[in-house]
Amino acid sequence: MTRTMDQGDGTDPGAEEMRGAFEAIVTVAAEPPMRDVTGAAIAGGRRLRRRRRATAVAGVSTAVVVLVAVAVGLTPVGAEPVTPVVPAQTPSPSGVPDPAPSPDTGPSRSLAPEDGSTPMPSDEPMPSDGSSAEEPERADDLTEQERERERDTR
Amino acid sequence: MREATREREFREFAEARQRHLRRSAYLLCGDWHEAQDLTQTTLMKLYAAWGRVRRDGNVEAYARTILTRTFIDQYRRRGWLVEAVEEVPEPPGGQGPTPELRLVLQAALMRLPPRYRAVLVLRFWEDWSVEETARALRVTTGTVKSQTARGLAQLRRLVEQETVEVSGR
Repeated sequence: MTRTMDQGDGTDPGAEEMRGAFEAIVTVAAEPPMRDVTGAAIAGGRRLRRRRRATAVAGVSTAVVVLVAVAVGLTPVGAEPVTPVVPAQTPSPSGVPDPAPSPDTGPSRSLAPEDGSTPMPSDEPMPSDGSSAEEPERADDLTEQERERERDTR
Repeated sequence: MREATREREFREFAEARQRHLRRSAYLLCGDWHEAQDLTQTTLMKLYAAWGRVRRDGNVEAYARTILTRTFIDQYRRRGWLVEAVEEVPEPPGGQGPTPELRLVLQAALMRLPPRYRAVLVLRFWEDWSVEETARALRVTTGTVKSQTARGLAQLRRLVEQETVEVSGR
């Protein structure tokens, strides 16, 4: 308590006076006995820490959810749909024409009308009359027929 | 195990320092019961951050900073203007005669705005430098210097006023 108090650029003559006043207030004032505050402080401190931790976890979770939502929202909507996988074809015996539709054999397996009109481009959407949905089924049927033919030849 | 060590270390510190903390709190708020609550809140906040505070070192300074900030926050919530003109709490009865000077000083101190009081307590009771006080109160050193000067001037005026009032009774 003997340190000289500087008030920025000089010393303050009231510093000692002030210290004396504080001493007087505290020492003369009838100080009630100190009750134990440590136990209560520890309990309260633990609670406070738990609350802070929970808040932090909630904050991180919210941030993750928001990030995921933003990422999903930013994904392009008009992305090309994945073409359905056509069932694998069994090797056909030689001389037998392959009737099953296959994306690999696109132009050769032409569905072009015999009258020579322009065929429908393969990437154009199919009419929604359900005909496209039947396509894989027909392929299955044909494969089945091929299998039967194979069995007969054996 | 870690928690037990933490608790033991904290208990050692709290039991050694709580009396001094309560006295500082009393100088700030002028009431022993309020000072006790302020001390408990300070220790609670200190325990919540005990690991980090221990690592950083200066536990003592950290505790005083929490005490002062908690006091200022409490009064900010209540309203500065209302508090500044509040009546000085009467000392509880049955504690024997108290010197007049102490009453005058305490009354004058309690009539100071809380922030001035905090600056004066940190500077002259805790014996902190301008820089330390500025850091604890989150203000500039210029603010600490000006508030110290204004606080002291106002306190002198109030003490004179109180002395006249007391002698005139």
